[in-house]
This record gives sequence, C-alpha cells and structure tokens, in this order.
Amino acid sequence: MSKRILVIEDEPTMRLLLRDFFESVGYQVLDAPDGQTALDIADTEPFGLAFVDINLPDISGDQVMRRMRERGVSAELVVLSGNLRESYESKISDLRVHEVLEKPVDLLVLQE
Amino acid sequence: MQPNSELYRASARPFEAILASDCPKSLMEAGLHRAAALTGANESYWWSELDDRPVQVTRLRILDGEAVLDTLVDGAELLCVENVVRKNPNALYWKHPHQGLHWHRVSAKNSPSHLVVLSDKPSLAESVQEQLQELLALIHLKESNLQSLENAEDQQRQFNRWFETMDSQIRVLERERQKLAGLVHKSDGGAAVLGSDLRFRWVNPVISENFGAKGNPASMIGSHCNAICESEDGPCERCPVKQVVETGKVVHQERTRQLAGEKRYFYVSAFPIRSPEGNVDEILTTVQDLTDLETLRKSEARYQTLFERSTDAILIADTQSLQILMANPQAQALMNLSESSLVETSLLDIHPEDARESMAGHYRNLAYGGKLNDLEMEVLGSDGTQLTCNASGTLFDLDEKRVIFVEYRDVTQIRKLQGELARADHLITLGTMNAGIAHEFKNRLAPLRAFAQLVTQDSTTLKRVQKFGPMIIREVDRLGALVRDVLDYARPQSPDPGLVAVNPLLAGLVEELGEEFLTTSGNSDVQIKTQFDIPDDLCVFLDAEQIRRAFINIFKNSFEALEKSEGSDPELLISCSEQNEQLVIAFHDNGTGIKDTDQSRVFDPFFTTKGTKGTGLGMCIVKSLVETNDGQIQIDSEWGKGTEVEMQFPICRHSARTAA
Repeated sequence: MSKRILVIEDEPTMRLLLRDFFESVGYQVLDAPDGQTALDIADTEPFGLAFVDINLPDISGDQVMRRMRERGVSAELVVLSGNLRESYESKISDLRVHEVLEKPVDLLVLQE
Repeated sequence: MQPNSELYRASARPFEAILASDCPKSLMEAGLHRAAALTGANESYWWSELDDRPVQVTRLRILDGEAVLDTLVDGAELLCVENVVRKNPNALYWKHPHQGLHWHRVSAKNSPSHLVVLSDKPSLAESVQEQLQELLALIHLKESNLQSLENAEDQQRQFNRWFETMDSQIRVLERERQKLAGLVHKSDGGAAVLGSDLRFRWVNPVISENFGAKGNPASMIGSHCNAICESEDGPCERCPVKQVVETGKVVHQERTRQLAGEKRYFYVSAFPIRSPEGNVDEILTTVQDLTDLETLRKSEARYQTLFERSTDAILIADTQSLQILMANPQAQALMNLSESSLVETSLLDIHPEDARESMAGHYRNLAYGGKLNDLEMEVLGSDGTQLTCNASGTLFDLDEKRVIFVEYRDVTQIRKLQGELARADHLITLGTMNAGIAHEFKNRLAPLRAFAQLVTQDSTTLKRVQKFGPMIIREVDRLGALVRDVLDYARPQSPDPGLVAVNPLLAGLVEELGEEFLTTSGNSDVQIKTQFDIPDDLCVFLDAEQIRRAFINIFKNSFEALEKSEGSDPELLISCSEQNEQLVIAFHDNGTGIKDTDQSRVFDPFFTTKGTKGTGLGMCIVKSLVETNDGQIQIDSEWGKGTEVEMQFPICRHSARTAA
C-alpha cells in the first residue's frame, strides 16, 4: 500500500509529469485534477502517500486533507503549493502533514 | 365847475331919476354902464361894458346924501333875463348882450363862473333864477352821473381785466389738476390724502387694491391710516403722517409689512398741504411698492457676493473677442490679472501657449451655445507655474450683451494628491497581485523544472520527451502570456485622449477584429452584427488605442464563449446607442454565459474560467482601460444563454465641428 501515491493537482502538465516520474521510480500512481475527485478516490482506493496542491478549482487543498483525515485516511500527506503562506501552517497544523513543499519542487526531494 | 348865480333886484323907483342927477362921472369914466332897468331912487347898479373885460357889477347907493360904491361881482358874466332862453328842460341858452346874437349853451364846460341876473321884474327874475338853479342842479346831477358812469365803466374794465387774469389762472390750474389727477390715478404707486386726524379723505385705486376693499376706494374713506402701515392699535410710533402733522415737513420712510403672506417693502412719502392760515390740515401720502426692486437688489447683492467671494475663479468674457470683461478677486489672484490689464487680456491668454488652440475651440463652442462642463485644462498661474483647473462655463446676458461666464476651480493640488493616491493604489494593487503573480509563475515553472529533471534522468526516454515536449511548450507560452498581461496591467495607463467620432472608430474596430478572430479562431460560423443608433458625428473624448485594446479582450472572450457553446447560430451583436448623455456600447454574444457564482469575480485579477488558456488578467485590464477613459463597464450574463458586456462613455456634445 505504501507503494501507492495519490497526486492531487489541477495543472494537467504537472499532474502528468508527477505521475510519469513516480511511475518511473516504481510507484503506483492515482491522480485527481480536483478536490472532489480526490475525495472520491480516497473513499475507495488505499494509498500510502498523497501530494496535495493547495490551489484546487473546487475545494481547497487543506479542506481536502481535513476531510480525508475525517474519513480516517492515515496516509502521509505532502503539500505542494505555489504560494506558501504562514496562515496555511496554522490551518493544517492538526492534520499531521508530513511536509510542505513549495513549487517548483525538486523531484528528488519528492522521491525521498 | 358849477357856476354861481346871483340875483339882484332894484327898487321900484324909476331908473332915470337917479341917472340924471346922481350919476357919478367917475363910474362912467371907468367904463361902467348903468343898468337901466335896475335903477332905483337910492341905488343903481352898474356893469362894465368893455369887451375885453369881465363883467363887474357895481352898486351905487345914496346913503345919507353920500354916494357909496360896492363891487358886488367881479369877473362874472352878466345875464339879463330877456337874454335867457330855455329851449328844453336840460338846456339853457343865453346871449351875451355885447357879443352879438350868439346863443351860448349853459353847460358844465362853457358856463361862466358867475351868472348875474339883473331884473326889475322880481317875479320874472325869481323864475329865471329858479330855472337856472334847477338847470344847474340838473347839470350837476348829470355830470355826477356821468362821472359815476365813467367810474363804473372803469371798474368794469378793471373787473374784466381781473376776470381775464383769473380765467387764465384757472386754465393753468385745471391743467395742473389734470396732470395731478393723471398721476395719482394712473400711477403704479399708491396715493392718498389724509386729514390731520390721520384718517383717509381720498385714496387712489392702488391704495384701495392693496390695503383696503378691492374695487371700492370709497370704503376706505374715514378709516385710519394704519391700514397702510399695519398696526392694529392706532398710528404707530413712526407714523409718517403724524410726523408731517407735527413738524409740517415732508417725511420719507421705508416700511416693511406682511401682505398676503409675503413680506413687502414700501417707500412712503408724506407731504403737508396747508390751509390758507398756514396750518397742516391735509397730508398727501404716496406709497411705492419696492418689493420687486428689493428682491432684485438682494439677488443682485447675492450674485455680487457669490461673484466676489467665490472660492472659484470666475471670468466673464465677450463671446466674440473672448476679451475678459470681469474677473473676480479669486481669478485676479489665481491668474495674475489686474483690473487695469483686463482690457487687453483674452480668455486664451490665461492658458499656456500649447493649450490655446484647443481652448479656443472649447470657448467658441460655448459661445455658439455648446457646453463646457467640468473640463480639465492647464492654466498659467500667477507665478508662471502651470495649474490644473476644472472649468465649467455658461452663457448669460450682462447689460443686454451676451457674455461667456466661466468658473475655474484650481484642482492642481487635488490632482497631485489624486495622482499620488493612484500611484499608491496601483502599488498596493501590484503588491496584492504579487502573490497571485508569484503563484502563477511557480505553477508554470513547476512542470518546467520537473520536466527538466525528468529529461536529465539517465533512464529517460525519447518517448517521454516527445510526450511532455508540447506540454512544456504550452506552459512556456502561458508564461509568456502571463508576463505580457502583467506588464500590460502594470503599465502606466494615463490615457492620451482626443475627440473621437464613435461611428468610424467602432466600424473600423469591428471590421478589423471580426476578420482577425474569424480567421484565427476557426469558428467561421459566428455572425458578427452591428447596430449603431447614433448620429454620424457623435464624439467621445478618449484614448482610441486603449479602447481598442479593451475591445480586443472583449472580442476574444466573446469568441471563446461562442466556440465553447454548443448552441446553434453563434452570434456576436455589437450595438451602440445614446442614453442620458452617455454613449452606450454593448457586446452581446449567445455563447456559454458565466455562472452566477463567477459573475462577481469576472474583473478580479487572476480569476479565470478558461483553465490553462487564460491568465485571469484580461477583463481586469479591460475594466482598468475603460475606467481610465471615464467609462464604466458591467457584465450581465446568463449561464447557457450568453453574455452582454456594456460600457458607457460621456458624450462630447457640439464638438463635432472641432473634431472634424
């Protein structure tokens, strides 16, 4: 299960690149272009790690993570964001977020 | 002159008796003759006979044997009874015994001073004497009558002269009366005559119309003069009529009172009319209603105050020469005009040289009945600096001459502050946008970096490069577009406006952009329609290039909405019309429309519904461009039906001539 990664990213190029990259390094990748799709996946598919974009067209990334936690998702959460604001930190401090990464992100860091 | 008559009678003795014996020789020698008939025994009467001598009657008497001579009458006419004839009751004729046979009429003129009747016949003599007396009395009476008559005639002539004088004086007085009557009856002013008891004796129609019973001047007679001066209890302290009675002098007063619910101003004059004894027994009072004059005076004073104390500079100038006729103190201070230099100063002289040509257009436009409203212009300040003024003008009549009236408000400081504010605002906006811009950039750069890392992996494949290559190119293009739009938005947008005729501008843009979009979008089904309901010469004052940029963005959005829409007969209608002094331009498409939730965010920066295709700055830029050109923009859209973008711009009326 830890080999499954959920990529939640609305920018298609980035989503496809992340999927390609993680697959190339041996992960199984699920992806979602928006918050609702991500939640739907989380309800049905197990995954060990999720990369979450904060700026999503429908539901904001922190809300998506909060709902995942509410639904008992225990996977590691990594935030990928174009805008890093301190306010995010407080919003997600209780969500056991593994790491917050700012775009553009180093793929090797992701791999770690 | 009344003649005397005297009667002498001799005794009955024969005349001859004395004559023979007693005739004194001396009498004879003296030229006297004896009156034969009147010679008696003891006395005889003698008279002079000489032609050139008056009659002398002398009596000779014998007294105690002595002859005594008495001169009885000296210088009289002798009248013998036989020489007197009475021809009618009024006329007595006599014949001088020594002057031939001429009969003399006894009259006042030619009667002698003395008539002596000598006769020896007493009864005859008495009769003659009586007749003579009677006649003389008659003559006297007649003469006195004549005198009276003459006197009476004199008096009548005198009276006639008096009457003539009085007649002419009466005619003069009548003319004066008519003038006066005309004055008081037909005058606009009130006139009344009051007695010294302060009660009306006579009023003219104006007084009764205003202060008494309408149409019935008589009803005021006898009432108190406070009917004019509005005091309920008798004459007021200042009563002008009372003052005239007391001082005997003319009194003028200004009075105010409420009349028919309106405050009115009266000028009251009271004149004394004196009795022959010199007492003031009547008072002529005139009342002039000055309310309109007072209103005019006040409004004039108000305008004068407005003109003098206005914080705006006000210039009044000739419509033809634009020569300045009047400048208020504010204008004199602001524009360095002195009262004496106004004559040589034209309205154009207050502007910097490079602005004069266009200002001449504005002023001429105003002079021909056009408008000058809130026009911002450069004005030369008193210290040679350039000021920014906001001016509004109008035409009005001053002393029967049409003049231009322009108010200039110095907005130099305000504009400076507004400029600073706008810059600060822009900086703030840029600041808040920075986050958005950074986010966008990072989102674009993220795949670039990821791709670069992927392609540098040892294990990467050509397939991977080919898969992501085009996507990366798109991302780079988006980055380019983003940079362009950000620059566009951040670019200083001070417009370079000019008078633009709307019809040609719109028609040109529609043709150019329509063609471009039809060919590039590949959606050649779109029908582009226009509906221009404005006059050919309608002008607006704006920066045509900025408006062109705004229209390109709107066109682009409309075409994209039409492309995405699955409806048939895609159509873009561009209409313009005139509403409430505004030019209204609308772009109406029957494309996809905008969701209700998105409508309020259409103009927000970085808001886009076009996903990867838009930067979210387009409509934001459009709004900024439209507002920079004094326009307004609204979007009205219904999801699934279409969108209407409507803009309004102020119209420059009457400016077609200058624009052309």
